[in-house]
Amino acid sequence: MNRWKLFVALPVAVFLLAGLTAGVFAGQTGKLTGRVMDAASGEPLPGVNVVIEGTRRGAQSDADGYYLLLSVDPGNLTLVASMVGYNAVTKTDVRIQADFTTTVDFQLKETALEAEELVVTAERPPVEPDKTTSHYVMGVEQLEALPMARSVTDLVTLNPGVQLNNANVIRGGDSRDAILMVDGVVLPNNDGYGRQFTGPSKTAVQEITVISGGASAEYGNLESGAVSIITKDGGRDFRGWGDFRYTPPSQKHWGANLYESAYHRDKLKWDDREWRAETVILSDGEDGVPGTPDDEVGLAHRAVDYTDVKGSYIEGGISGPLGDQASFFASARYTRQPTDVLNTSVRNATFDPSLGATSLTSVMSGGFPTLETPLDFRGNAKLTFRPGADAKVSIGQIYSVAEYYNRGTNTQRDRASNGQNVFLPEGSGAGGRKVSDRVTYASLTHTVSPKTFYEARVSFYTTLEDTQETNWPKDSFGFPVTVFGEKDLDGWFNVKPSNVANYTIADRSRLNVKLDVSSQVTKGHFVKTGIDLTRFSIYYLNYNSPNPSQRIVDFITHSGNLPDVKAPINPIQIGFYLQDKMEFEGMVMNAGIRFDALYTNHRFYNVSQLQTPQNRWLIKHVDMVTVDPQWATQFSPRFGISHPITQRSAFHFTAGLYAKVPDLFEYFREQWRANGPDAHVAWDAFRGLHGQVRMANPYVSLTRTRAYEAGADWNFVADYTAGMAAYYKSAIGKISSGSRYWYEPQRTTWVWGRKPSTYQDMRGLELHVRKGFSHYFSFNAAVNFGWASTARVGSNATMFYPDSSYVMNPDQYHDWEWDGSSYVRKDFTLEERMKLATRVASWWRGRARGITNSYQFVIFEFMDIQKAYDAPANMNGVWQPTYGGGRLFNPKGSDLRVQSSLSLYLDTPMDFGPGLRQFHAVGGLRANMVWRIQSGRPQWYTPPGKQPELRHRPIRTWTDLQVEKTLVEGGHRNAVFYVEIFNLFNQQDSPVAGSYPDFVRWGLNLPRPNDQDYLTYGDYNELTRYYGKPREVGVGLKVNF
Amino acid sequence: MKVFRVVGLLILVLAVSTWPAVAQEGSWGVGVFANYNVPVFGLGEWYDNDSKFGLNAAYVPASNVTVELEFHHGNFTDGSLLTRTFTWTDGQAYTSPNASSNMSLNSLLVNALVRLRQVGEPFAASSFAPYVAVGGGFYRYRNDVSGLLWPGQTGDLVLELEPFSDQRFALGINAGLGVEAFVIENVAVDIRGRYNIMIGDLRGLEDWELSETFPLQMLDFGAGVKFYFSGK
Repeated sequence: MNRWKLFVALPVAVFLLAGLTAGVFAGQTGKLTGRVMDAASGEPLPGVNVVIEGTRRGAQSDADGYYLLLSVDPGNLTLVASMVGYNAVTKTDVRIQADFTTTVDFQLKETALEAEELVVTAERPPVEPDKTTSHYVMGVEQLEALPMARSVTDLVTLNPGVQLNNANVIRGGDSRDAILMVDGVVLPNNDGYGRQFTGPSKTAVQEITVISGGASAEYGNLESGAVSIITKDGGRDFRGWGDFRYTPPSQKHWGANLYESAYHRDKLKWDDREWRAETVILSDGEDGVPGTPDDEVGLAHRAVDYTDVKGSYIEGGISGPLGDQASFFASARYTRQPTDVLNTSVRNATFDPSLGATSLTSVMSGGFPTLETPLDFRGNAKLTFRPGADAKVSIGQIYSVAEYYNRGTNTQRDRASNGQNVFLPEGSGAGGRKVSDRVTYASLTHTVSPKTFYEARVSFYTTLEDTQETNWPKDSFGFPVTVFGEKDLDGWFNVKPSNVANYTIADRSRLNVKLDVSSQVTKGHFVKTGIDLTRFSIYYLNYNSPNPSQRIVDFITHSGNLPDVKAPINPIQIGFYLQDKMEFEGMVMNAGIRFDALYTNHRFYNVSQLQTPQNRWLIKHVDMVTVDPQWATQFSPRFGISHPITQRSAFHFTAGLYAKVPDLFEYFREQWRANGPDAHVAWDAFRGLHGQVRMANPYVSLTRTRAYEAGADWNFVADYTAGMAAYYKSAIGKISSGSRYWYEPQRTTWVWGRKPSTYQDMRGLELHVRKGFSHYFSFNAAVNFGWASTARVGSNATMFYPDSSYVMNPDQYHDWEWDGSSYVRKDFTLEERMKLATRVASWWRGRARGITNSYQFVIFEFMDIQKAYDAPANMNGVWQPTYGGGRLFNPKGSDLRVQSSLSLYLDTPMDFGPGLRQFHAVGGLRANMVWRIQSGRPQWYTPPGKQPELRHRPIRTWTDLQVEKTLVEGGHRNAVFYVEIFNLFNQQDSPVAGSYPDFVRWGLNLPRPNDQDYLTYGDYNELTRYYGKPREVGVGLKVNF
Repeated sequence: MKVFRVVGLLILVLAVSTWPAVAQEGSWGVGVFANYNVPVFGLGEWYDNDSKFGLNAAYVPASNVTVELEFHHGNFTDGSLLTRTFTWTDGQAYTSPNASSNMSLNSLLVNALVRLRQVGEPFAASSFAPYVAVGGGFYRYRNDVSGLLWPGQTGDLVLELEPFSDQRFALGINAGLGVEAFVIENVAVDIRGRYNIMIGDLRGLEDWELSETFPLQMLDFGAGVKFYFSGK
């Protein structure tokens, strides 16, 4: 069977399986079951109606008294069991969690024995009996108990196993190792260098599930864990809410105000009147002519009060019914939070609780400098229809937009270039950047029989990236060129920004179709199968001219079509799974298998030829030989088991293989560079490039991770629960850079490529202790101990040595030159070829000696280039891989061995404590404190006279607090005033950016005592010496109506 | 001495003012404590034992449980750095004559005292009850070091390192045993010993053979007087 047939056969197989199987669980809904008994006799009661109050959904107990309801939405509901001759029993607060089985038993009394309906509150077991994974669920109660966590990112990072500053890093993995889903729609992070869109704002979230390990087969394209977000549906009543927070102006960085800082040494001359009065022409005015009266002139040294910037945070929403069968939900969040506008450091952008997902975006996109108060908007809308008791249709959209500045040398007021940019105006000479995400989806959940249902989803997710607010001069062909800015008369400070041509145009779209079929085949078998197909549509171009004589072009497109960059590539990603959840007398097993595949759907230019003289011109790509689209496939078995130890404790074990498609940029991205002007290229700015620095690689395989874990949960007293999981996982095929050298007579070139040649080993212990809400408080503590090491396996470079026959063949070996109107072929004369061939032969002799010597000392091999790279048969020469050195089991840079969080929540009723009339000072109070700690980055250190030791830089802790006071309350309407404080204790921890040995030996986190600059000016690095920001206070008002 | 007079007067006022009340479930109480801190492990390398003083407020939600809010203030002074030496480039060992090393330690904790058994009528005169104490909260520490000669210098040995401080509001927990003995109906003497662990660190000074200290750990032994008020 060829691959296309396989492609067609898979969905067919799914439908066949769907028809054959009968029952299951689903990632977005829960299963509800239980047994109905006669209270007097203890006998099972058949024929009892068990109904979810307020809906038309229900089930009837079977001959053994069991009832079953599948695809129940997560949340709290009320169940009513009734039968003629018996008093009805109502169970309230039945909590449904996605992926879990909720068991609610009933005992009915005959009417003659009891006259009144019985209402009892259901209690969910504190330890889930069917938890076969490390699986943490945050329901509405937990989400509301974390007002300090403002975003999905904040919430996710408080769970065990998740890195405190990146919701995508779970159990020591990388930022692309986890997946994130919203309402079952995967938001990919593997099509744009790990950028992860986190979906809606917090108030739209009904439930968050974090799987830190042991994900079952339905979760694909991941290496570590999964985050599943389920959004709220509208209810039967109209509801609305609003939240406004104000952040007063303050300095957002440590140390002195930048205009008074020792950072500048003696460059600031505020006491010099001439220096203060110096002016600069910022623009030539409307007429565009320099030296005319309309020129915009400003002071060269303008100290801007950048600490006087206010921030705002607005969130609101509305929900309600649309007739009897439909409901709506809409929410939106708009923030403009002040940032440290003078800070180019990525570090401060990596974790900012006040900005939530914006901070994550900043990290993922490489840490672009932000605006003074960057726009960050996100909203979602959802319509839900219930045409019958057995069907639910949802249509939703999530939208987000954020703004940044583009980077460029001396384009923006920041601390770059030794602080020379601090007098540049707000804005960027490299333009701004707007990134928007839009996810539109529709889903159908249909229960076709009491034991079978299916879920079908279609989603279309688009990420648009575009450059804006540019003001670049154009060259004679209309292409942007870079113009250097101006310095002050001292020649030190930049006072007019450079106009750096640096633009990005990108469109990434994903069309996803997903079908899951679930069926309770027998009482003990819950089978689920599904297929997931994503067709990507991606183009990307970054044109960057960091200085007037250099151009770098980075793109993903069909390179033969350039400059039409909007010719997208369309790789296809496929997933298929089949799993069975088996439940036997308390023991639960989950076994499944998954198939993942990537079809590149793109004819790549033959990478073996890219560096030949005739093909190293981007313009000549169109003439190159191409290779067939490639498949990368992987089967992944998964297994999990859970068994109760006591009624209040359970044990679980999982083992599995996890496959992940590496970032598509690793397959498709090319980068070219040219130094020097190219004025004769009249028709576009980059076809004349002839220096490729990064090549596409169609042969990247899927990353494979083997993972094992064993864990236990224990409800040790009252509502206190503790859990532990020990894990080991090993990932192979991680992507790293590799280079390829082309040794030929005219010149040697090299090009970067990406190779699946790195492994990572991770092991650790994950602990948590939780207390449910009672006695006015709850808490949740998570502790992670992790060890991660990484190293390269396989070659780090490949060298090619063509032979003389290759050089002598004019069809294979020629060049191009510009004849005034176009590039024409430039052939070498026979005499030139003979010379080149002679040099090749000479090289060969020398290389042969080297190779012979190499045999004696290193592992050595020749590559079969035809087999490895589909190279043409006449590419004669030797391909030789080389192996780089390096330390095996090197700790990962992000190996934060210990990290922990504690969130504490206090909530008092309105009439709590002493009061005056209706007012109780400590009543209606809610407080939420979140404390976090992480160990410093690993560091090799060699004590004097000893072997190197692995140490860690100092710890970091930070604490945030929010206190709320309910001012007005009446039913579902209330108004709440709150104060929130980030970095409550103003903790100032340092990563020790300077000399680590100085710190270890002498405790020295400052320049050495004999540092002359330090002695003269003071601590000139205080601005960057510490993590994060000083204490920041905000006040706000929330209303519900 | 003025402080002792004030505290003594306070104790007298409390004793008299609460005399008619009988401590029981729902009672509130306040107390004063004097403790002896014994730093252990890494912290013990830095400092010797020292004293601390504190106040607490207690609430009795059940006959066998007391919940208390506790504040303590203490200091460790004249740490071992004053006498520690480093080996300079000439191979000789030197102390730093101007060295100073002091640490302040305040704590704000919430503790639960769970009585193991009750001898005599609860809260009655001459009764006593041993208990297990567990608690947690924030320990605010600040370790100030100054006057250390810089071992990295050449020439004359004169340059000193800049003074530095390690400080943190460290989350911490404690656990221990104690006994509460009622002298009269509303006044109890409380004696306890606990182990404290604080999630904080002190930087290493390896030329003085002080490694990085994490976490900070200590024992504390103390005695106090508690005055109960009727809660009903």
